[in-house]
Amino acid sequence: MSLLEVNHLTTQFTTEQGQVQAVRDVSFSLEKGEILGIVGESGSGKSQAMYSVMGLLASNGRVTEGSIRFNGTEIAPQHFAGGMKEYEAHMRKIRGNEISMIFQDPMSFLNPVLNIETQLVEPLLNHQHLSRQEARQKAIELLTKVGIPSPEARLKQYPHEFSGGMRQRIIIAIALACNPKLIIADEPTTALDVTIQAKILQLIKSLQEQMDSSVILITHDLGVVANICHRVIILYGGKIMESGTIDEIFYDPRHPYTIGLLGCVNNPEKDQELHPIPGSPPDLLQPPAGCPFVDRCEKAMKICKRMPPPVSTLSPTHSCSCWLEAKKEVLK
Amino acid sequence: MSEPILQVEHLKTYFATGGRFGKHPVVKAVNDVSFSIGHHETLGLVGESGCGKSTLGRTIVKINQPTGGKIYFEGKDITSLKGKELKDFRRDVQMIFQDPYASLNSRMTVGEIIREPMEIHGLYGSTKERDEKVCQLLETVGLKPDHIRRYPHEFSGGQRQRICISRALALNPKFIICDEPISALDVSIQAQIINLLQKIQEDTGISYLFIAHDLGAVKHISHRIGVMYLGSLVELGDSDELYHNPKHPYTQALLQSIPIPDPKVERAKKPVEISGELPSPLNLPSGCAFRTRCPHACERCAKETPQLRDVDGRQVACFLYK
Repeated sequence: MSLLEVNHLTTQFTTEQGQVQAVRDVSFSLEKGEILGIVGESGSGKSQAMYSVMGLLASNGRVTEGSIRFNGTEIAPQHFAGGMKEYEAHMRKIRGNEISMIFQDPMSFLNPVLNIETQLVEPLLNHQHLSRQEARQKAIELLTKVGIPSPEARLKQYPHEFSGGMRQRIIIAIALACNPKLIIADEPTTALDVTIQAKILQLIKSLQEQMDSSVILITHDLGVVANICHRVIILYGGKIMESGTIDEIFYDPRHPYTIGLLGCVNNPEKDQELHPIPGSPPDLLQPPAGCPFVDRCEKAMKICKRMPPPVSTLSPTHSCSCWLEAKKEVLK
Repeated sequence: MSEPILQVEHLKTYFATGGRFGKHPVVKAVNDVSFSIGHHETLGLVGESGCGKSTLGRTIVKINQPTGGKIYFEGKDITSLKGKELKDFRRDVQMIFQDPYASLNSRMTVGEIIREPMEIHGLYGSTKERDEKVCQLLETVGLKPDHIRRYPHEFSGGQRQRICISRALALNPKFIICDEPISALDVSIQAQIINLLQKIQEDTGISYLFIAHDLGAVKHISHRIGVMYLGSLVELGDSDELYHNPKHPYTQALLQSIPIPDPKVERAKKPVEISGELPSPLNLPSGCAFRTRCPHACERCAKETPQLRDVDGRQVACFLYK
């Protein structure tokens, strides 16, 4: 059984201009001990898909369809008989305990008026029902684990007394507090400098191996994916374009968007010319009926505009939704 | 080499911080930096946040006043220009900023934004002629002439950056300072902007100072690269050579830290060697600023400050190379 199974997830936002279809029919699964990368440009729905799983959507957002099974239990809000109230009560027990989250900006995530100890022991007191003393001990252990020197003294300090990299380490410590089965990291290193980023990625990797938890890493940086992930999902316009192991995606990309994305990132190892993808992403207020990438795709055909492409399975781990692949399958 | 378009000698920019009772700690944002840029050349400037790369760019266009040192533009000392002379200088030197959402006035139409520099400098006689030029510029950067009456909010991030570029080009400058022009954009759009900047350089022979923290992008566009750390240049050289054979320990660490979009390369990589984080610029370490994180630091590094010296056809500020 997979740790997380998401099927046909659809999330909409009600805005003054109309319904924004941020996530459209997204299905994927995550195994235990796996690091899954979710890659997409801004507005591709990568963060909203994960917020849907966590139940952290903004008040105008709603999961309209699909199922989310975590550890065998259904946690999609529309499947709760008692409505949002029961859903919220259930999610409160899971969030920060079995699933925890690491956010992009370490400064806005930590509360500036509370010291680190208060913020670090909060999940321990709430979920694990430890005593203050025990929680403090555990907090010191956690800080040591994430590589913060002199943790006892540091516990009494406030977020502004830490540098950006140190703050991100504290957030990781908070996320790890209850030994979660799943950690969702939303662009955890985007706000950091590259040398610090390298250190934080090393830390996430080694902690993941130690604790055998699963990680979903949301990012726009294909370099970070190549560094840390096992599998990757490419999102565009709220839909999954292609998914596979990193070797399949980097060395055998099939979807024109994936190929385009790899062609326009700077790989300083190879002196290739940059081939930008022309145009800009679709407006999700009126998502295109067919493939969301059709307007920017060099290989677009008539059918791409009319109908969404089916998912073609290329290997047990590699799948792609593109009419080109569907056509190949039929010809076979 | 022919005469450089821009030459910077021992440039210093210090900021006084608010201190009470006569104690004013000074932030040495740019600390004794010298380099030059030739015609038709792009110099990339990389470094982590707080290393002074943006301040350096802003000092060159004199948004910040230099504390010491000299800046020469086309052989002329512009360090203490004022009034009309400064205005003339700024006609030749333009700037593109990082955040295209913050650097365009949301109450002005695209036409007004691009026309404004021409009006200030009295270029082209009438508004009609100026508008013709604006349409031309919009086409150069890949927008449509009928965008002229639209407002910035109607454009995406990449399109806004194109507007910023056309504004910078409005005065036919000889030199543009690009301060992180792509870091706020999505990857597929970043490549569009980089290619556009390169095409403009081919067509007009303009020079760039390209400031960024992303060494990958900088390597792609630059002829030479300077690496900055805490206000000083630690290495300066040809971009390919610097990338393939970094000399300074900081450059080495920086290169090692960049994740490469290629799983095989990533798996073969060794873990990054440097430890710790950037020291406070208020209280710089004695001697070499990088010694607190350097794996090769020795006693001499704490006592003396290494200067940029020629090593195998490039300049490195490190005692490892004699």
